[in-house]
Amino acid sequence: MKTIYFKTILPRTRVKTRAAAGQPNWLLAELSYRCPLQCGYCSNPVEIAQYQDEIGTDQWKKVLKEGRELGCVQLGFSGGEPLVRQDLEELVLTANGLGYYTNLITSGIGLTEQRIKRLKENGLDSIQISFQSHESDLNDYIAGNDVYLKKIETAKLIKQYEFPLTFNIVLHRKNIDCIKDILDFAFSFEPDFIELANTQYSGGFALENRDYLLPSLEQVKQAKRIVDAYPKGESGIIYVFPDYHQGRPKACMGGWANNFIIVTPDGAVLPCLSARTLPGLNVPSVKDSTLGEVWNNSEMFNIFRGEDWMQEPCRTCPDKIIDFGGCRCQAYLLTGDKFATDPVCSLSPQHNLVTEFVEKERSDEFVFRNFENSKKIMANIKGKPVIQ
Amino acid sequence: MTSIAIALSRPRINRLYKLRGKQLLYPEGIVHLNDTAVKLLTLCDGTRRIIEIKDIVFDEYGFDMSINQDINDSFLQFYNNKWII
Repeated sequence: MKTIYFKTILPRTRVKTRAAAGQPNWLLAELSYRCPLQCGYCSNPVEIAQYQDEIGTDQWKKVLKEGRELGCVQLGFSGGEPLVRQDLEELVLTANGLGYYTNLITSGIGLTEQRIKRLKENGLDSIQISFQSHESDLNDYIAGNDVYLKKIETAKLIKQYEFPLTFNIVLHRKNIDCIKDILDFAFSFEPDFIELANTQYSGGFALENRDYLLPSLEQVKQAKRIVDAYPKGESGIIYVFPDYHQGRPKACMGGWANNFIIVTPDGAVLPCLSARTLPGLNVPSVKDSTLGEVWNNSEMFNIFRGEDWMQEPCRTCPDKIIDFGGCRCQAYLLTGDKFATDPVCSLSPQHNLVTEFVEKERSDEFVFRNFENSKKIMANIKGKPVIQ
Repeated sequence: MTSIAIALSRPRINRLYKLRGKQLLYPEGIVHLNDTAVKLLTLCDGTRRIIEIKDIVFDEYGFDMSINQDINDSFLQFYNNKWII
């Protein structure tokens, strides 16, 4: 019996897999939509100008406590740029006391030595820094600001203070051909993880700039070949696949309201980054509900749980337990129906919406992510699906 | 790493990881552990040699060659996964 007791079986689970029990593991705290960068691939909603009324420090502390009570153990501070909040250090201290593993997801701008020192003292566990390119011109063009040298300085500072470092870069048509140079550049910082994230077009500014950003199928295949052949060394490489080119939908957020809770700068509680674009759903807020109430009882979180909501071909598809029908926001934004099969799936009756777009000639018009453009875009949308 | 080197090592949890209850947390990821793995990892504080960790386990559960083997296998796995250094 003792032998059986000591049989060590170690299930290794990444965040992508489905959680065993109905409780979230992840809380993403989007502290602010303010950002010194203006990257046009940003996943923030194009309506950011409308959500500038940020919740306060005490409200965030309450959110952190409720998240932990609900079972969350991983906490991401993101934005926008979370460092624009001067109470970040205080929130890190609170989160650490509650027992979270705390991740700072940053552009690197605003991370002075004084602040990084304080974050270390307050128990921050890891830092992810984003770059836009391996070379300054493209980096600063995409970021809409001269930030390249500052980012390099910050990445070195992160290592100096012995934080686990994740190097993140978002890939698209303009930088994906340089993947070899990007990997060389990333490895020069001796990161613990390298995240190569193909742009996701499931909403926000990324979708607005899809015509500019989307690479060709050949570009994507070539990049994957180079990544696969690259000597990995000690760093782990996380490759976010390009769903437009793959013919398979991604299991967005590991399944709807399965693992993640996102709280936006103005206090909205969402199961995914773009959920606020879906029509006909009340948006829960931390101002009038607890995270537990939202997680268990809200329509927003319950609507796409399980399989009952699915249409054909998802309903009878064996892969429904793997991809959960794909991304709901993408389905809505491309087809106008939030219950439809994600059109990136080759089995979707509307898959041509994606294949035709991949083959289309690209545009060189690039919309920077900032509050001014947000206002302009909002004036044009008037509540309709953005596409076509 | 040879089995003797493992037995004499004084493992501690890799700085990338943090043990919280039954979960091993690392940047943007979670490993769900069973009770055995938690028990062994909790004892990895950088001061105890693995042979000392084994003594603690044997004191609690009695000595058994198959337990001994399982502990060896577990630590090999922990090292390979870089959960401990």
